[in-house]
Amino acid sequence: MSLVVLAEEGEGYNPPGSGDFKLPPIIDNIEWFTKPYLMALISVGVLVAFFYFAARRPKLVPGRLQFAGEGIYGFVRRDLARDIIGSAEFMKFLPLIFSLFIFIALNNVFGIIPFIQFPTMSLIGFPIALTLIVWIVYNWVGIRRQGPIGYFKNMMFPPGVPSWVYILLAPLELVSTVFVRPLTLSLRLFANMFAGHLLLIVFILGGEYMLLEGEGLVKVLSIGAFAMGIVMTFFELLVQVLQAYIFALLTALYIAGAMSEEH
Amino acid sequence: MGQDKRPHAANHDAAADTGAWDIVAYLLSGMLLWGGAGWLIDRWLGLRVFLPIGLLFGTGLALYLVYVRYGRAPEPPADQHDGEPNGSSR
Amino acid sequence: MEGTLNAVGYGLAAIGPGIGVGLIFAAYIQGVARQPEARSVLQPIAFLGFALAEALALFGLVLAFVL
Repeated sequence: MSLVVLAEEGEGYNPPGSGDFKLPPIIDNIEWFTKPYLMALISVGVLVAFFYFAARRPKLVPGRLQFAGEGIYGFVRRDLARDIIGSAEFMKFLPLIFSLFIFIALNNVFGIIPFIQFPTMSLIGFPIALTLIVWIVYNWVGIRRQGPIGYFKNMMFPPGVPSWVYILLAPLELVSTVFVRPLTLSLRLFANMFAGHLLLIVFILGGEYMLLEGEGLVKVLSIGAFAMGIVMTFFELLVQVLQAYIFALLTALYIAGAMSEEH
Repeated sequence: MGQDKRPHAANHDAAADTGAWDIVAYLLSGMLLWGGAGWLIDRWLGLRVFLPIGLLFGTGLALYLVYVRYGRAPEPPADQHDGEPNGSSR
Repeated sequence: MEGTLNAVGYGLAAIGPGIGVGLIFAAYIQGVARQPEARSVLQPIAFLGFALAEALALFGLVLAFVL
Protein backbone atom coordinates (compact mmCIF):
# COMPACT_ATOMS: atom_id res chain seq x y z
CA MET A 1 0.00 0.00 0.00
CA SER A 2 1.92 2.98 -1.24
CA LEU A 3 0.90 6.56 -1.05
CA VAL A 4 2.52 9.58 -2.62
CA VAL A 5 1.86 12.27 -0.10
CA LEU A 6 3.42 15.45 -1.36
CA ALA A 7 4.97 16.39 -4.67
CA GLU A 8 7.74 18.88 -4.19
CA GLU A 9 7.46 21.74 -6.61
CA GLY A 10 10.57 22.03 -8.68
CA GLU A 11 12.73 19.03 -9.22
CA GLY A 12 15.61 17.67 -7.41
CA TYR A 13 15.35 16.93 -3.73
CA ASN A 14 15.84 13.23 -3.33
CA PRO A 15 14.93 12.17 0.16
CA PRO A 16 17.29 9.55 1.51
CA GLY A 17 16.27 5.98 1.14
CA SER A 18 17.68 2.52 1.08
CA GLY A 19 19.26 3.28 -2.26
CA ASP A 20 21.81 5.33 -0.38
CA PHE A 21 23.21 2.15 1.07
CA LYS A 22 24.03 0.50 -2.24
CA LEU A 23 27.58 1.57 -2.83
CA PRO A 24 29.35 0.92 -6.10
CA PRO A 25 32.24 -1.51 -6.27
CA ILE A 26 35.69 -0.03 -5.99
CA ILE A 27 37.30 -2.29 -8.58
CA ASP A 28 35.05 -2.41 -11.58
CA ASN A 29 34.95 -6.10 -12.24
CA ILE A 30 34.60 -7.34 -8.69
CA GLU A 31 30.98 -6.68 -7.77
CA TRP A 32 31.19 -7.35 -4.07
CA PHE A 33 34.29 -5.35 -3.22
CA THR A 34 32.54 -2.19 -2.13
CA LYS A 35 33.53 0.50 0.31
CA PRO A 36 31.95 -1.10 3.39
CA TYR A 37 33.76 -4.34 2.67
CA LEU A 38 37.04 -2.50 2.34
CA MET A 39 36.36 -0.53 5.52
CA ALA A 40 35.64 -3.68 7.47
CA LEU A 41 38.96 -5.17 6.35
CA ILE A 42 40.81 -1.96 7.13
CA SER A 43 39.20 -1.82 10.56
CA VAL A 44 40.55 -5.27 11.36
CA GLY A 45 44.01 -4.14 10.34
CA VAL A 46 43.76 -0.95 12.37
CA LEU A 47 42.58 -2.75 15.49
CA VAL A 48 45.24 -5.43 15.26
CA ALA A 49 47.93 -2.80 14.77
CA PHE A 50 46.63 -0.62 17.60
CA PHE A 51 46.53 -3.35 20.18
CA TYR A 52 49.77 -4.91 19.02
CA PHE A 53 51.62 -1.68 19.53
CA ALA A 54 49.76 -0.97 22.75
CA ALA A 55 50.84 -4.26 24.25
CA ARG A 56 54.39 -4.30 22.97
CA ARG A 57 57.03 -3.76 25.61
CA PRO A 58 54.63 -2.97 28.44
CA LYS A 59 56.01 -0.78 31.16
CA LEU A 60 54.89 -0.52 34.74
CA VAL A 61 54.07 3.15 34.26
CA PRO A 62 52.27 2.98 30.96
CA GLY A 63 52.77 5.28 28.03
CA ARG A 64 49.78 6.79 26.27
CA LEU A 65 49.16 4.00 23.80
CA GLN A 66 49.51 1.33 26.43
CA PHE A 67 47.19 3.26 28.72
CA ALA A 68 44.51 3.52 26.07
CA GLY A 69 44.77 -0.11 25.09
CA GLU A 70 44.76 -1.28 28.69
CA GLY A 71 41.82 0.95 29.48
CA ILE A 72 39.64 -0.55 26.78
CA TYR A 73 40.76 -4.09 27.48
CA GLY A 74 40.34 -3.69 31.22
CA PHE A 75 36.87 -2.28 30.82
CA VAL A 76 35.70 -5.19 28.70
CA ARG A 77 37.41 -7.76 30.85
CA ARG A 78 36.12 -6.39 34.15
CA ASP A 79 32.69 -5.04 33.50
CA LEU A 80 31.57 -7.19 30.65
CA ALA A 81 33.20 -10.55 31.03
CA ARG A 82 34.16 -11.14 34.62
CA ASP A 83 31.20 -9.51 36.27
CA ILE A 84 28.70 -11.27 34.11
CA ILE A 85 30.10 -14.67 33.28
CA GLY A 86 31.78 -15.07 36.63
CA SER A 87 35.43 -15.22 37.52
CA ALA A 88 35.68 -18.95 36.95
CA GLU A 89 34.99 -19.14 33.27
CA PHE A 90 35.15 -15.76 31.71
CA MET A 91 38.59 -16.14 30.17
CA LYS A 92 37.32 -18.62 27.63
CA PHE A 93 34.90 -16.11 26.21
CA LEU A 94 36.84 -12.92 26.70
CA PRO A 95 38.46 -12.96 23.23
CA LEU A 96 35.06 -13.23 21.59
CA ILE A 97 33.46 -10.49 23.66
CA PHE A 98 36.42 -8.17 23.35
CA SER A 99 36.72 -8.64 19.61
CA LEU A 100 33.01 -8.06 19.13
CA PHE A 101 33.13 -4.89 21.18
CA ILE A 102 36.06 -3.23 19.46
CA PHE A 103 35.12 -4.39 15.97
CA ILE A 104 31.59 -3.11 16.24
CA ALA A 105 32.65 0.11 17.96
CA LEU A 106 35.22 1.00 15.31
CA ASN A 107 32.98 0.09 12.42
CA ASN A 108 30.15 2.11 13.88
CA VAL A 109 32.32 5.14 14.45
CA PHE A 110 33.28 5.00 10.78
CA GLY A 111 29.87 6.51 10.28
CA ILE A 112 31.00 9.91 11.48
CA ILE A 113 34.65 9.98 10.44
CA PRO A 114 35.03 12.40 7.51
CA PHE A 115 35.67 10.83 4.12
CA ILE A 116 34.45 7.45 5.36
CA GLN A 117 31.05 8.35 6.77
CA PHE A 118 29.45 5.00 6.31
CA PRO A 119 28.75 2.74 9.29
CA THR A 120 29.59 -0.75 8.14
CA MET A 121 26.96 -2.24 10.41
CA SER A 122 24.17 -0.47 8.55
CA LEU A 123 24.27 -3.22 5.95
CA ILE A 124 22.24 -6.08 7.33
CA GLY A 125 24.77 -8.73 6.41
CA PHE A 126 27.37 -7.64 8.93
CA PRO A 127 25.18 -7.77 12.06
CA ILE A 128 23.70 -11.04 10.89
CA ALA A 129 27.15 -12.57 10.52
CA LEU A 130 28.20 -11.46 14.01
CA THR A 131 24.93 -12.63 15.50
CA LEU A 132 25.36 -16.00 13.86
CA ILE A 133 28.66 -16.42 15.65
CA VAL A 134 27.14 -15.42 18.98
CA TRP A 135 24.15 -17.69 18.42
CA ILE A 136 26.28 -20.70 17.70
CA VAL A 137 28.44 -19.96 20.73
CA TYR A 138 25.70 -19.61 23.29
CA ASN A 139 23.68 -22.55 22.06
CA TRP A 140 26.79 -24.69 21.91
CA VAL A 141 27.78 -23.68 25.42
CA GLY A 142 24.31 -24.39 26.72
CA ILE A 143 24.10 -27.80 25.13
CA ARG A 144 27.58 -28.72 26.27
CA ARG A 145 26.94 -27.55 29.81
CA GLN A 146 23.46 -28.87 30.44
CA GLY A 147 23.28 -31.68 27.93
CA PRO A 148 20.96 -31.38 24.96
CA ILE A 149 17.92 -32.64 26.80
CA GLY A 150 18.57 -30.59 29.89
CA TYR A 151 19.20 -27.40 27.94
CA PHE A 152 15.92 -27.55 26.09
CA LYS A 153 14.04 -28.79 29.08
CA ASN A 154 15.18 -25.94 31.29
CA MET A 155 14.42 -23.51 28.55
CA MET A 156 11.00 -24.72 27.58
CA PHE A 157 9.39 -25.81 30.81
CA PRO A 158 9.37 -23.09 33.42
CA PRO A 159 8.40 -24.17 36.89
CA GLY A 160 5.22 -23.10 38.54
CA VAL A 161 2.82 -23.47 35.65
CA PRO A 162 -0.22 -25.75 35.53
CA SER A 163 0.73 -28.66 33.34
CA TRP A 164 -1.86 -28.25 30.65
CA VAL A 165 -0.44 -24.86 29.75
CA TYR A 166 2.96 -26.34 28.94
CA ILE A 167 1.92 -27.42 25.50
CA LEU A 168 1.18 -23.80 24.65
CA LEU A 169 4.19 -22.28 26.34
CA ALA A 170 6.94 -24.65 25.25
CA PRO A 171 6.93 -23.83 21.51
CA LEU A 172 6.69 -20.15 22.36
CA GLU A 173 9.75 -20.38 24.58
CA LEU A 174 11.63 -22.35 21.98
CA VAL A 175 10.89 -19.92 19.18
CA SER A 176 11.70 -16.99 21.41
CA THR A 177 15.03 -18.16 22.74
CA VAL A 178 16.36 -19.94 19.70
CA PHE A 179 15.06 -17.76 16.89
CA VAL A 180 13.77 -14.38 17.94
CA ARG A 181 16.53 -13.52 20.40
CA PRO A 182 19.32 -13.53 17.82
CA LEU A 183 16.95 -11.73 15.49
CA THR A 184 16.49 -8.88 17.93
CA LEU A 185 20.22 -8.83 18.62
CA SER A 186 21.12 -8.26 15.00
CA LEU A 187 18.16 -6.03 14.22
CA ARG A 188 18.90 -3.72 17.13
CA LEU A 189 22.42 -3.03 15.88
CA PHE A 190 21.37 -2.81 12.25
CA ALA A 191 18.38 -0.54 12.84
CA ASN A 192 20.31 1.87 15.05
CA MET A 193 23.08 2.26 12.49
CA PHE A 194 20.71 2.43 9.53
CA ALA A 195 18.51 5.05 11.13
CA GLY A 196 21.47 7.06 12.35
CA HIS A 197 23.00 7.15 8.91
CA LEU A 198 19.69 8.19 7.38
CA LEU A 199 19.32 10.96 9.94
CA LEU A 200 22.73 12.34 9.12
CA ILE A 201 21.98 12.19 5.41
CA VAL A 202 18.71 14.04 5.90
CA PHE A 203 20.20 16.88 7.85
CA ILE A 204 23.44 17.34 6.02
CA LEU A 205 22.40 16.76 2.44
CA GLY A 206 19.07 18.43 3.10
CA GLY A 207 20.90 21.42 4.47
CA GLU A 208 23.10 21.48 1.40
CA TYR A 209 20.06 21.35 -0.84
CA MET A 210 18.42 24.13 1.11
CA LEU A 211 21.53 26.26 0.87
CA LEU A 212 22.15 25.79 -2.82
CA GLU A 213 18.68 25.50 -4.27
CA GLY A 214 16.48 27.30 -1.85
CA GLU A 215 15.32 30.87 -2.18
CA GLY A 216 15.56 33.52 0.44
CA LEU A 217 14.30 32.33 3.77
CA VAL A 218 15.06 28.72 2.97
CA LYS A 219 18.68 29.60 2.39
CA VAL A 220 18.86 31.23 5.80
CA LEU A 221 17.12 28.33 7.47
CA SER A 222 19.66 25.90 6.08
CA ILE A 223 21.88 26.87 8.94
CA GLY A 224 19.39 25.12 11.20
CA ALA A 225 19.77 21.97 9.17
CA PHE A 226 23.53 22.11 9.48
CA ALA A 227 23.31 22.79 13.20
CA MET A 228 21.09 19.76 13.60
CA GLY A 229 23.61 17.83 11.54
CA ILE A 230 26.32 18.72 14.04
CA VAL A 231 24.15 17.83 17.01
CA MET A 232 23.16 14.56 15.41
CA THR A 233 26.79 13.70 14.72
CA PHE A 234 27.62 13.87 18.40
CA PHE A 235 24.48 11.98 19.27
CA GLU A 236 25.44 9.35 16.73
CA LEU A 237 28.81 8.96 18.37
CA LEU A 238 27.10 8.16 21.64
CA VAL A 239 24.66 5.74 20.01
CA GLN A 240 27.39 3.98 18.08
CA VAL A 241 29.57 3.24 21.07
CA LEU A 242 26.52 2.37 23.14
CA GLN A 243 25.29 -0.12 20.57
CA ALA A 244 28.67 -1.82 20.50
CA TYR A 245 28.58 -2.02 24.30
CA ILE A 246 25.05 -3.42 24.31
CA PHE A 247 25.94 -6.06 21.73
CA ALA A 248 28.91 -7.21 23.76
CA LEU A 249 26.92 -7.04 26.98
CA LEU A 250 24.09 -9.15 25.64
CA THR A 251 26.56 -11.65 24.23
CA ALA A 252 28.09 -12.02 27.68
CA LEU A 253 24.66 -12.29 29.30
CA TYR A 254 23.44 -14.92 26.88
CA ILE A 255 26.59 -16.96 27.37
CA ALA A 256 26.26 -16.64 31.12
CA GLY A 257 22.64 -17.63 30.92
CA ALA A 258 23.39 -20.67 28.83
CA MET A 259 25.98 -21.79 31.32
CA SER A 260 24.05 -21.33 34.51
CA GLU A 261 22.53 -24.44 35.95
CA GLU A 262 20.89 -24.30 39.31
CA HIS A 263 20.73 -21.31 41.58
CA MET B 1 7.85 -25.37 43.43
CA GLY B 2 11.04 -26.06 41.51
CA GLN B 3 13.87 -23.60 41.28
CA ASP B 4 13.93 -21.51 38.16
CA LYS B 5 16.99 -22.58 36.22
CA ARG B 6 16.82 -19.62 33.88
CA PRO B 7 19.45 -17.09 32.88
CA HIS B 8 20.60 -14.68 35.53
CA ALA B 9 23.73 -12.62 35.65
CA ALA B 10 26.38 -14.18 37.84
CA ASN B 11 26.71 -10.90 39.62
CA HIS B 12 23.34 -9.31 40.19
CA ASP B 13 24.83 -5.87 40.58
CA ALA B 14 26.10 -5.99 37.05
CA ALA B 15 24.36 -4.04 34.37
CA ALA B 16 20.83 -4.96 33.48
CA ASP B 17 19.75 -8.53 33.04
CA THR B 18 18.63 -9.83 29.72
CA GLY B 19 15.15 -9.24 31.12
CA ALA B 20 13.99 -6.32 29.05
CA TRP B 21 15.22 -7.74 25.76
CA ASP B 22 13.94 -11.20 26.56
CA ILE B 23 10.51 -9.71 27.18
CA VAL B 24 10.57 -8.03 23.77
CA ALA B 25 11.61 -11.35 22.25
CA TYR B 26 8.77 -13.19 23.99
CA LEU B 27 6.16 -10.69 22.84
CA LEU B 28 7.44 -10.67 19.28
CA SER B 29 7.66 -14.43 19.04
CA GLY B 30 4.19 -14.85 20.54
CA MET B 31 2.76 -12.53 17.95
CA LEU B 32 4.71 -14.11 15.12
CA LEU B 33 4.03 -17.72 16.10
CA TRP B 34 0.34 -17.50 16.86
CA GLY B 35 -0.30 -14.75 14.35
CA GLY B 36 1.35 -16.93 11.76
CA ALA B 37 -0.76 -19.87 12.83
CA GLY B 38 -3.86 -17.71 12.56
CA TRP B 39 -2.78 -16.56 9.13
CA LEU B 40 -2.27 -20.13 7.97
CA ILE B 41 -5.73 -21.07 9.24
CA ASP B 42 -7.05 -18.06 7.35
CA ARG B 43 -5.50 -19.27 4.15
CA TRP B 44 -6.82 -22.75 4.71
CA LEU B 45 -10.35 -21.62 5.49
CA GLY B 46 -10.45 -18.54 3.31
CA LEU B 47 -11.49 -16.25 6.15
CA ARG B 48 -9.87 -13.13 7.47
CA VAL B 49 -10.73 -13.29 11.11
CA PHE B 50 -8.16 -15.71 12.44
CA LEU B 51 -5.15 -13.52 11.89
CA PRO B 52 -6.10 -10.89 14.50
CA ILE B 53 -7.40 -13.62 16.80
CA GLY B 54 -4.06 -15.37 16.51
CA LEU B 55 -2.17 -12.14 17.14
CA LEU B 56 -4.17 -11.37 20.25
CA PHE B 57 -3.92 -14.89 21.55
CA GLY B 58 -0.17 -14.91 20.95
CA THR B 59 0.21 -11.60 22.75
CA GLY B 60 -1.81 -12.83 25.69
CA LEU B 61 0.17 -16.04 25.89
CA ALA B 62 3.44 -14.14 25.72
CA LEU B 63 2.29 -11.81 28.50
CA TYR B 64 1.45 -14.83 30.62
CA LEU B 65 4.89 -16.25 29.94
CA VAL B 66 6.48 -12.95 30.93
CA TYR B 67 4.50 -13.10 34.15
CA VAL B 68 5.68 -16.64 34.80
CA ARG B 69 9.32 -15.85 34.12
CA TYR B 70 9.73 -12.33 35.35
CA GLY B 71 6.57 -11.18 37.05
CA ARG B 72 6.64 -13.34 40.10
CA ALA B 73 8.75 -12.38 43.02
CA PRO B 74 11.79 -14.64 43.09
CA GLU B 75 11.74 -17.26 45.77
CA PRO B 76 14.44 -16.88 48.35
CA PRO B 77 16.84 -19.81 48.40
CA ALA B 78 16.17 -22.28 51.15
CA ASP B 79 19.30 -21.38 53.08
CA GLN B 80 18.91 -17.62 53.16
CA HIS B 81 19.51 -16.21 56.59
CA ASP B 82 19.10 -12.44 56.50
CA GLY B 83 15.66 -10.92 56.65
CA GLU B 84 15.45 -9.72 53.08
CA PRO B 85 12.00 -8.35 52.36
CA ASN B 86 10.32 -10.60 49.90
CA GLY B 87 6.91 -10.48 48.38
CA SER B 88 6.47 -14.11 47.49
CA SER B 89 3.27 -15.43 48.88
CA ARG B 90 3.08 -19.11 48.21
CA MET C 1 7.68 12.13 -0.79
CA GLU C 2 6.62 8.54 -0.89
CA GLY C 3 6.01 6.03 1.75
CA THR C 4 3.36 3.90 3.27
CA LEU C 5 0.75 4.98 5.72
CA ASN C 6 1.66 1.93 7.76
CA ALA C 7 4.94 3.46 8.80
CA VAL C 8 3.22 6.69 9.83
CA GLY C 9 0.72 4.66 11.81
CA TYR C 10 3.47 2.77 13.56
CA GLY C 11 5.28 5.98 14.34
CA LEU C 12 2.19 7.44 15.95
CA ALA C 13 1.51 4.21 17.79
CA ALA C 14 4.97 4.16 19.29
CA ILE C 15 4.60 7.51 21.04
CA GLY C 16 2.41 6.23 23.87
CA PRO C 17 4.40 3.11 24.76
CA GLY C 18 7.61 5.10 24.56
CA ILE C 19 6.39 7.50 27.20
CA GLY C 20 4.86 4.67 29.18
CA VAL C 21 8.03 2.62 29.35
CA GLY C 22 9.95 5.73 30.33
CA LEU C 23 7.55 6.39 33.18
CA ILE C 24 7.70 2.81 34.38
CA PHE C 25 11.44 2.66 34.57
CA ALA C 26 11.63 6.15 36.02
CA ALA C 27 9.45 4.97 38.88
CA TYR C 28 11.55 1.82 39.25
CA ILE C 29 14.77 3.78 39.39
CA GLN C 30 13.30 6.19 41.92
CA GLY C 31 12.04 3.37 44.07
CA VAL C 32 15.37 1.58 44.08
CA ALA C 33 17.20 4.84 44.69
CA ARG C 34 15.17 5.61 47.76
CA GLN C 35 15.40 2.10 49.16
CA PRO C 36 17.93 -0.21 47.53
CA GLU C 37 16.69 -3.23 49.45
CA ALA C 38 13.39 -2.96 47.62
CA ARG C 39 15.06 -3.85 44.35
CA SER C 40 14.05 -7.49 44.24
CA VAL C 41 10.50 -6.58 45.17
CA LEU C 42 10.14 -3.88 42.57
CA GLN C 43 11.86 -5.65 39.70
CA PRO C 44 9.07 -8.11 38.82
CA ILE C 45 6.55 -5.30 38.88
CA ALA C 46 8.74 -3.18 36.63
CA PHE C 47 9.14 -6.00 34.14
CA LEU C 48 5.43 -6.74 34.10
CA GLY C 49 4.55 -3.12 33.48
CA PHE C 50 7.21 -2.91 30.79
CA ALA C 51 5.81 -5.97 29.05
CA LEU C 52 2.31 -4.58 29.02
CA ALA C 53 3.39 -1.21 27.62
CA GLU C 54 5.74 -2.75 25.10
CA ALA C 55 3.07 -5.15 23.86
CA LEU C 56 1.19 -2.25 22.35
CA ALA C 57 4.23 -0.89 20.58
CA LEU C 58 5.10 -4.30 19.14
CA PHE C 59 1.50 -4.74 18.10
CA GLY C 60 1.79 -1.57 16.07
CA LEU C 61 5.03 -2.80 14.53
CA VAL C 62 3.63 -6.17 13.57
CA LEU C 63 0.46 -4.68 12.14
CA ALA C 64 2.49 -2.18 10.13
CA PHE C 65 4.03 -5.11 8.30
CA VAL C 66 1.06 -7.40 8.21
CA LEU C 67 -1.57 -5.07 6.87
